[in-house]
Amino acid sequence: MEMVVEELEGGVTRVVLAGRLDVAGAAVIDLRFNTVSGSRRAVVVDLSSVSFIASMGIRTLVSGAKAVRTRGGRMVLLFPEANVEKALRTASIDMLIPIYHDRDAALAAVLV
Amino acid sequence: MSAEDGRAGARSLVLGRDLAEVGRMAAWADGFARRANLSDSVTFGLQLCLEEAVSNVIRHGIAPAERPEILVMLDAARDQVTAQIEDEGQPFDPCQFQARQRAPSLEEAESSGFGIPLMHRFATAMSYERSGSRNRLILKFDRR
Repeated sequence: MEMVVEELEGGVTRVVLAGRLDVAGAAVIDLRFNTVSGSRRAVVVDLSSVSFIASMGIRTLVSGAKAVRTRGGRMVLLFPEANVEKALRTASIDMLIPIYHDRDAALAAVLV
Repeated sequence: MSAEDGRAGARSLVLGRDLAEVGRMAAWADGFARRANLSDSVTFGLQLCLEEAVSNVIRHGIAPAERPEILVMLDAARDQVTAQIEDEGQPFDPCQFQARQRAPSLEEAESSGFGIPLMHRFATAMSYERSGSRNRLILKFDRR
């Protein structure tokens, strides 16, 4: 699992994850993901290159989203692959962290 | 065994009680899925359920020191894939797990407890039995 952080215009942080967000992948990014989440107020998590997700990966996303919310901000998820999105919706994560398939809409959503 | 008709002979893997073994299992299951010509969605569901089941056993199952291993078996028939996970930990039946109600807000949401509900959704059927000192979890995945 790889994680790249980009600071976009307008104060939006784009976090690009790539690989398997399984128990091992979550362990690799957990600290850094939570550090970024705990210090940003507008976070878009790009999941387009995430091929797999399991509960520990979901846990990392939820923990991060809660950290952003604590600071009064928002996190959204962008471009999850079909099976990854099915897993997220099965766990009702879409009700906690909105899912977008449109980059501009995702950026607008975190800048509300 | 034939990749053309999607059947694959039964395969088994013995894991140690270490979360690092989950990655080894994932690679093994991926090879099985390719040989059995499983679809991406069935492979994903199989991989997800295996990870959740085995991770639960490793994290929560207390096994005798002399028999800590976890046995994973996979078999692919024309219409269905079967996964069986066995260990000698304390009895635990994930089929009895009651998913908590969906949290009304992100602030009230807990970050854990997603694994077993995911298994219920991605496996076509799930059953558990206790045989002597062994837990046996059987997962079925329809291929259509």
